[in-house]
Amino acid sequence: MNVRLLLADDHEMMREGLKALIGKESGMEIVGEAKNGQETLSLAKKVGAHIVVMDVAMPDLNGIEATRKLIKLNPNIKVVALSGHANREFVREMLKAGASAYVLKSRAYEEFVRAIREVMDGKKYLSPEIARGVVDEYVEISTNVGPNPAFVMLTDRERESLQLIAEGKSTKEVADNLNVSVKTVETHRHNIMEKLNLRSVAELTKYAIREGITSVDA
Amino acid sequence: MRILLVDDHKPTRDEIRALIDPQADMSVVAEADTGELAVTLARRERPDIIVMDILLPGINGIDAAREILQELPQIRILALSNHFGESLVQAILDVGGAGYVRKFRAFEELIPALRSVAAGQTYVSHGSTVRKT
Repeated sequence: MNVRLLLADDHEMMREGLKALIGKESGMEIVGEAKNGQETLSLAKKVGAHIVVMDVAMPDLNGIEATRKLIKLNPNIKVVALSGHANREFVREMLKAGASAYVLKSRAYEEFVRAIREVMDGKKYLSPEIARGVVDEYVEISTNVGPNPAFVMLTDRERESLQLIAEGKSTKEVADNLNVSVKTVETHRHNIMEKLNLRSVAELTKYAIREGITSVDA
Repeated sequence: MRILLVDDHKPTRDEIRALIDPQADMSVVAEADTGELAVTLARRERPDIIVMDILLPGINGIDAAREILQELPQIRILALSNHFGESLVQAILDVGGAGYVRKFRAFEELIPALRSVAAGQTYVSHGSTVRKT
Protein backbone atom coordinates (compact mmCIF):
# COMPACT_ATOMS: atom_id res chain seq x y z
CA MET A 1 0.00 0.00 0.00
CA ASN A 2 1.23 3.47 -0.80
CA VAL A 3 2.12 5.80 2.02
CA ARG A 4 -0.54 8.50 2.10
CA LEU A 5 0.76 12.05 2.33
CA LEU A 6 -1.10 15.20 3.24
CA LEU A 7 0.57 18.46 2.20
CA ALA A 8 -0.05 21.39 4.52
CA ASP A 9 1.41 24.67 3.29
CA ASP A 10 -0.28 27.99 2.64
CA HIS A 11 1.87 28.58 -0.44
CA GLU A 12 0.55 27.25 -3.72
CA MET A 13 4.02 27.24 -5.30
CA MET A 14 5.45 25.20 -2.46
CA ARG A 15 2.70 22.58 -2.72
CA GLU A 16 3.09 22.49 -6.49
CA GLY A 17 6.84 21.95 -6.11
CA LEU A 18 6.41 19.15 -3.58
CA LYS A 19 3.82 17.49 -5.78
CA ALA A 20 6.25 17.57 -8.69
CA LEU A 21 8.89 15.86 -6.52
CA ILE A 22 6.54 13.21 -5.11
CA GLY A 23 5.01 12.55 -8.51
CA LYS A 24 8.16 10.74 -9.60
CA GLU A 25 8.39 8.55 -6.50
CA SER A 26 7.03 5.07 -5.97
CA GLY A 27 5.41 3.91 -2.75
CA MET A 28 3.90 7.27 -1.82
CA GLU A 29 1.02 9.39 -2.95
CA ILE A 30 -0.48 12.74 -2.08
CA VAL A 31 -4.02 12.31 -0.81
CA GLY A 32 -4.80 15.87 0.22
CA GLU A 33 -3.68 19.47 0.46
CA ALA A 34 -4.37 21.99 3.19
CA LYS A 35 -3.67 25.71 3.44
CA ASN A 36 -3.85 26.19 7.19
CA GLY A 37 -3.67 24.32 10.46
CA GLN A 38 -7.40 23.86 10.98
CA GLU A 39 -7.88 22.45 7.52
CA THR A 40 -4.92 20.12 8.13
CA LEU A 41 -6.53 18.65 11.24
CA SER A 42 -9.85 17.94 9.60
CA LEU A 43 -8.34 16.66 6.34
CA ALA A 44 -5.78 14.38 8.00
CA LYS A 45 -8.59 12.41 9.55
CA LYS A 46 -10.80 12.47 6.48
CA VAL A 47 -8.20 11.27 3.99
CA GLY A 48 -6.48 8.85 6.39
CA ALA A 49 -3.03 10.40 6.03
CA HIS A 50 0.01 8.47 7.27
CA ILE A 51 2.40 11.38 6.98
CA VAL A 52 1.57 15.07 7.17
CA VAL A 53 4.02 17.47 5.58
CA MET A 54 3.59 20.51 7.77
CA ASP A 55 4.64 24.06 7.09
CA VAL A 56 5.67 25.56 10.42
CA ALA A 57 4.33 29.05 9.72
CA MET A 58 0.71 28.77 8.58
CA PRO A 59 -2.23 31.07 9.13
CA ASP A 60 -5.17 30.21 11.35
CA LEU A 61 -3.51 27.48 13.39
CA ASN A 62 0.27 27.34 13.04
CA GLY A 63 2.18 24.16 12.22
CA ILE A 64 3.44 23.68 15.76
CA GLU A 65 -0.02 23.76 17.33
CA ALA A 66 -1.45 21.69 14.49
CA THR A 67 1.25 19.06 15.03
CA ARG A 68 0.59 18.91 18.75
CA LYS A 69 -3.13 18.40 18.19
CA LEU A 70 -2.67 16.00 15.31
CA ILE A 71 -0.39 13.66 17.24
CA LYS A 72 -2.59 13.84 20.30
CA LEU A 73 -5.55 12.72 18.19
CA ASN A 74 -3.57 10.06 16.35
CA PRO A 75 -0.23 9.04 17.89
CA ASN A 76 0.56 6.91 14.82
CA ILE A 77 0.57 9.79 12.40
CA LYS A 78 3.99 11.15 11.40
CA VAL A 79 4.79 14.79 10.80
CA VAL A 80 7.51 16.11 8.51
CA ALA A 81 8.05 19.78 9.32
CA LEU A 82 8.93 22.15 6.52
CA SER A 83 10.23 25.57 7.32
CA GLY A 84 11.81 28.59 5.77
CA HIS A 85 13.72 29.21 8.99
CA ALA A 86 16.32 27.42 11.05
CA ASN A 87 14.93 29.35 14.05
CA ARG A 88 15.80 27.33 17.17
CA GLU A 89 12.52 28.05 18.87
CA PHE A 90 10.55 26.68 15.92
CA VAL A 91 12.74 23.58 15.72
CA ARG A 92 12.52 22.89 19.44
CA GLU A 93 8.76 23.37 19.61
CA MET A 94 8.17 21.31 16.48
CA LEU A 95 10.25 18.40 17.79
CA LYS A 96 8.59 18.64 21.20
CA ALA A 97 5.22 18.54 19.47
CA GLY A 98 6.29 15.22 17.98
CA ALA A 99 7.55 15.97 14.47
CA SER A 100 9.74 13.20 13.02
CA ALA A 101 11.63 15.39 10.59
CA TYR A 102 12.51 19.03 10.06
CA VAL A 103 13.44 20.07 6.54
CA LEU A 104 14.45 23.55 5.44
CA LYS A 105 12.47 24.76 2.45
CA SER A 106 15.65 25.88 0.76
CA ARG A 107 16.81 22.24 0.95
CA ALA A 108 13.48 20.66 0.01
CA TYR A 109 14.48 19.91 -3.57
CA GLU A 110 17.46 17.85 -2.42
CA GLU A 111 16.15 16.44 0.85
CA PHE A 112 12.38 16.19 0.84
CA VAL A 113 11.98 12.71 -0.64
CA ARG A 114 14.78 11.36 1.52
CA ALA A 115 13.15 12.79 4.64
CA ILE A 116 9.85 11.13 3.74
CA ARG A 117 11.60 7.79 3.16
CA GLU A 118 13.43 7.99 6.50
CA VAL A 119 10.20 8.77 8.32
CA MET A 120 8.46 5.91 6.48
CA ASP A 121 11.19 3.66 7.98
CA GLY A 122 10.44 4.96 11.46
CA LYS A 123 13.56 7.11 11.54
CA LYS A 124 14.10 10.82 12.04
CA TYR A 125 15.46 13.33 9.60
CA LEU A 126 16.90 16.80 10.14
CA SER A 127 18.38 19.06 7.50
CA PRO A 128 22.11 19.43 8.26
CA GLU A 129 21.72 23.08 9.29
CA ILE A 130 18.93 22.09 11.66
CA ALA A 131 20.95 19.19 13.06
CA ARG A 132 23.79 21.58 13.89
CA GLY A 133 21.47 23.77 15.95
CA VAL A 134 19.89 20.77 17.66
CA VAL A 135 23.28 19.33 18.62
CA ASP A 136 24.51 22.71 19.90
CA GLU A 137 21.41 23.02 22.00
CA TYR A 138 21.69 19.46 23.28
CA VAL A 139 25.26 20.08 24.38
CA GLU A 140 24.25 23.34 26.06
CA ILE A 141 21.44 21.67 27.97
CA SER A 142 23.63 18.73 28.96
CA THR A 143 26.25 21.14 30.24
CA ASN A 144 23.72 23.01 32.34
CA VAL A 145 22.37 19.79 33.84
CA GLY A 146 25.88 19.23 35.14
CA PRO A 147 28.29 16.40 34.60
CA ASN A 148 27.51 12.79 35.25
CA PRO A 149 28.08 12.17 39.00
CA ALA A 150 30.20 9.15 38.20
CA PHE A 151 32.64 11.43 36.46
CA VAL A 152 32.84 13.79 39.40
CA MET A 153 32.85 11.53 42.40
CA LEU A 154 34.89 8.64 41.08
CA THR A 155 38.60 8.66 40.50
CA ASP A 156 39.94 7.67 37.07
CA ARG A 157 40.92 4.26 38.42
CA GLU A 158 37.50 3.71 39.97
CA ARG A 159 35.78 4.62 36.70
CA GLU A 160 37.95 2.16 34.80
CA SER A 161 37.18 -0.53 37.37
CA LEU A 162 33.48 0.25 37.16
CA GLN A 163 33.46 -0.21 33.41
CA LEU A 164 35.34 -3.52 33.56
CA ILE A 165 33.16 -4.89 36.38
CA ALA A 166 30.01 -3.84 34.52
CA GLU A 167 31.30 -5.64 31.45
CA GLY A 168 31.24 -8.84 33.47
CA LYS A 169 34.95 -9.25 34.19
CA SER A 170 36.01 -11.07 37.36
CA THR A 171 37.94 -9.27 40.08
CA LYS A 172 41.08 -11.10 38.93
CA GLU A 173 40.55 -10.05 35.31
CA VAL A 174 39.99 -6.44 36.32
CA ALA A 175 43.16 -6.55 38.42
CA ASP A 176 45.17 -7.97 35.52
CA ASN A 177 43.70 -5.49 33.14
CA LEU A 178 44.58 -2.52 35.32
CA ASN A 179 47.87 -3.96 36.47
CA VAL A 180 46.94 -3.79 40.14
CA SER A 181 46.33 -6.34 42.88
CA VAL A 182 43.01 -8.09 43.50
CA LYS A 183 42.91 -6.35 46.85
CA THR A 184 43.11 -2.94 45.19
CA VAL A 185 40.24 -3.81 42.84
CA GLU A 186 38.17 -4.91 45.80
CA THR A 187 38.86 -1.58 47.45
CA HIS A 188 37.89 0.27 44.27
CA ARG A 189 34.64 -1.68 44.08
CA HIS A 190 33.86 -1.00 47.71
CA ASN A 191 34.52 2.73 47.25
CA ILE A 192 32.45 2.93 44.05
CA MET A 193 29.46 1.28 45.72
CA GLU A 194 29.84 3.53 48.72
CA LYS A 195 30.08 6.72 46.66
CA LEU A 196 27.21 5.89 44.34
CA ASN A 197 25.11 4.27 47.04
CA LEU A 198 24.82 0.93 45.22
CA ARG A 199 24.41 -2.37 47.00
CA SER A 200 25.30 -5.10 44.52
CA VAL A 201 27.32 -5.80 41.39
CA ALA A 202 24.02 -6.07 39.49
CA GLU A 203 23.07 -2.53 40.56
CA LEU A 204 26.54 -1.38 39.68
CA THR A 205 26.18 -2.83 36.16
CA LYS A 206 22.78 -1.24 35.72
CA TYR A 207 24.19 2.09 36.81
CA ALA A 208 27.13 1.84 34.40
CA ILE A 209 24.83 1.10 31.47
CA ARG A 210 22.40 3.86 32.39
CA GLU A 211 25.16 6.42 32.68
CA GLY A 212 26.78 5.33 29.44
CA ILE A 213 29.98 4.15 31.12
CA THR A 214 29.53 0.84 29.37
CA SER A 215 27.14 -0.22 26.63
CA VAL A 216 24.75 -3.12 26.88
CA ASP A 217 26.46 -5.14 24.19
CA ALA A 218 29.98 -4.63 25.57
CA MET B 1 12.47 46.71 -14.03
CA ARG B 2 9.17 46.14 -15.83
CA ILE B 3 8.01 42.57 -15.58
CA LEU B 4 5.44 40.51 -17.49
CA LEU B 5 4.16 37.55 -15.48
CA VAL B 6 3.06 34.43 -17.35
CA ASP B 7 1.43 31.52 -15.51
CA ASP B 8 -1.90 29.80 -16.12
CA HIS B 9 -2.55 29.49 -12.39
CA LYS B 10 -3.89 32.60 -10.69
CA PRO B 11 -2.84 31.66 -7.12
CA THR B 12 0.70 31.12 -8.37
CA ARG B 13 0.72 34.50 -10.12
CA ASP B 14 -0.47 36.10 -6.90
CA GLU B 15 2.38 34.54 -4.98
CA ILE B 16 4.95 35.63 -7.53
CA ARG B 17 3.49 39.15 -7.40
CA ALA B 18 3.77 39.09 -3.62
CA LEU B 19 7.50 38.46 -4.00
CA ILE B 20 8.01 41.16 -6.63
CA ASP B 21 5.74 43.92 -5.33
CA PRO B 22 7.85 44.82 -2.27
CA GLN B 23 10.91 45.39 -4.49
CA ALA B 24 11.20 49.13 -5.11
CA ASP B 25 12.93 48.72 -8.47
CA MET B 26 10.55 46.10 -9.90
CA SER B 27 6.96 46.17 -11.01
CA VAL B 28 4.61 43.71 -12.68
CA VAL B 29 3.18 45.56 -15.67
CA ALA B 30 0.94 42.76 -16.98
CA GLU B 31 -0.10 39.16 -16.41
CA ALA B 32 -0.88 36.44 -18.93
CA ASP B 33 -2.37 33.00 -18.47
CA THR B 34 -1.59 31.57 -21.91
CA GLY B 35 1.39 31.54 -24.28
CA GLU B 36 -0.56 33.44 -26.93
CA LEU B 37 -1.48 36.20 -24.51
CA ALA B 38 2.15 36.35 -23.39
CA VAL B 39 3.23 37.07 -26.99
CA THR B 40 0.56 39.76 -27.42
CA LEU B 41 1.39 41.45 -24.11
CA ALA B 42 5.12 41.30 -24.74
CA ARG B 43 4.60 43.24 -27.99
CA ARG B 44 2.31 45.77 -26.37
CA GLU B 45 4.05 46.32 -23.01
CA ARG B 46 7.70 45.79 -24.04
CA PRO B 47 8.68 44.55 -20.57
CA ASP B 48 12.33 44.26 -19.51
CA ILE B 49 11.81 40.77 -18.15
CA ILE B 50 9.24 38.02 -18.63
CA VAL B 51 8.74 35.45 -15.88
CA MET B 52 7.48 32.50 -17.91
CA ASP B 53 5.81 29.30 -16.79
CA ILE B 54 6.62 26.42 -19.15
CA LEU B 55 3.54 24.21 -19.07
CA LEU B 56 0.85 26.49 -20.43
CA PRO B 57 -2.38 25.81 -22.26
CA GLY B 58 -2.08 26.50 -25.98
CA ILE B 59 1.48 27.22 -27.04
CA ASN B 60 3.94 26.32 -24.28
CA GLY B 61 6.39 28.67 -22.58
CA ILE B 62 9.30 27.69 -24.78
CA ASP B 63 7.48 28.32 -28.05
CA ALA B 64 6.16 31.60 -26.68
CA ALA B 65 9.69 32.59 -25.64
CA ARG B 66 11.04 31.74 -29.10
CA GLU B 67 8.39 33.84 -30.79
CA ILE B 68 8.91 36.80 -28.49
CA LEU B 69 12.70 36.74 -28.71
CA GLN B 70 12.71 36.59 -32.52
CA GLU B 71 10.93 39.90 -32.54
CA LEU B 72 12.16 41.47 -29.30
CA PRO B 73 15.59 39.96 -28.55
CA GLN B 74 16.38 42.52 -25.84
CA ILE B 75 13.73 41.06 -23.50
CA ARG B 76 15.14 38.80 -20.79
CA ILE B 77 13.04 35.67 -20.27
CA LEU B 78 13.30 33.80 -16.98
CA ALA B 79 11.51 30.45 -16.98
CA LEU B 80 9.73 29.41 -13.80
CA SER B 81 8.54 25.83 -13.51
CA ASN B 82 8.74 22.64 -11.49
CA HIS B 83 9.44 20.56 -14.53
CA PHE B 84 13.03 21.06 -15.59
CA GLY B 85 14.48 18.03 -17.24
CA GLU B 86 17.83 18.49 -18.90
CA SER B 87 16.21 18.74 -22.32
CA LEU B 88 13.80 21.41 -21.15
CA VAL B 89 16.60 23.47 -19.63
CA GLN B 90 18.54 23.17 -22.87
CA ALA B 91 15.47 24.17 -24.85
CA ILE B 92 15.00 27.36 -22.82
CA LEU B 93 18.61 28.39 -23.22
CA ASP B 94 18.57 27.39 -26.91
CA VAL B 95 15.70 29.74 -27.74
CA GLY B 96 17.60 32.55 -26.02
CA GLY B 97 16.06 32.42 -22.56
CA ALA B 98 18.04 34.06 -19.77
CA GLY B 99 17.66 31.25 -17.25
CA TYR B 100 15.25 29.39 -15.08
CA VAL B 101 14.12 28.98 -11.48
CA ARG B 102 12.44 25.96 -9.96
CA LYS B 103 9.06 27.10 -8.78
CA PHE B 104 9.38 25.98 -5.23
CA ARG B 105 12.70 27.66 -4.87
CA ALA B 106 11.06 30.86 -6.04
CA PHE B 107 10.72 32.15 -2.47
CA GLU B 108 14.49 32.27 -2.11
CA GLU B 109 15.65 32.58 -5.68
CA LEU B 110 13.24 34.58 -7.80
CA ILE B 111 14.36 38.06 -6.78
CA PRO B 112 18.12 37.36 -7.01
CA ALA B 113 17.48 35.57 -10.32
CA LEU B 114 15.59 38.58 -11.70
CA ARG B 115 18.46 40.84 -10.70
CA SER B 116 21.10 38.66 -12.30
CA VAL B 117 19.24 38.21 -15.60
CA ALA B 118 18.57 41.96 -15.64
CA ALA B 119 22.33 42.41 -15.33
CA GLY B 120 22.79 40.27 -18.43
CA GLN B 121 23.75 37.02 -16.69
CA THR B 122 22.29 33.56 -17.13
CA TYR B 123 20.59 32.20 -14.02
CA VAL B 124 20.27 28.49 -13.29
CA SER B 125 18.25 27.39 -10.28
CA HIS B 126 20.23 25.99 -7.39
CA GLY B 127 20.38 22.21 -7.27
CA SER B 128 20.18 21.82 -11.04
CA THR B 129 22.66 20.33 -13.40
CA VAL B 130 23.21 21.85 -16.79
CA ARG B 131 25.63 20.56 -19.35
CA LYS B 132 27.90 23.34 -20.47
CA THR B 133 27.94 23.57 -24.21
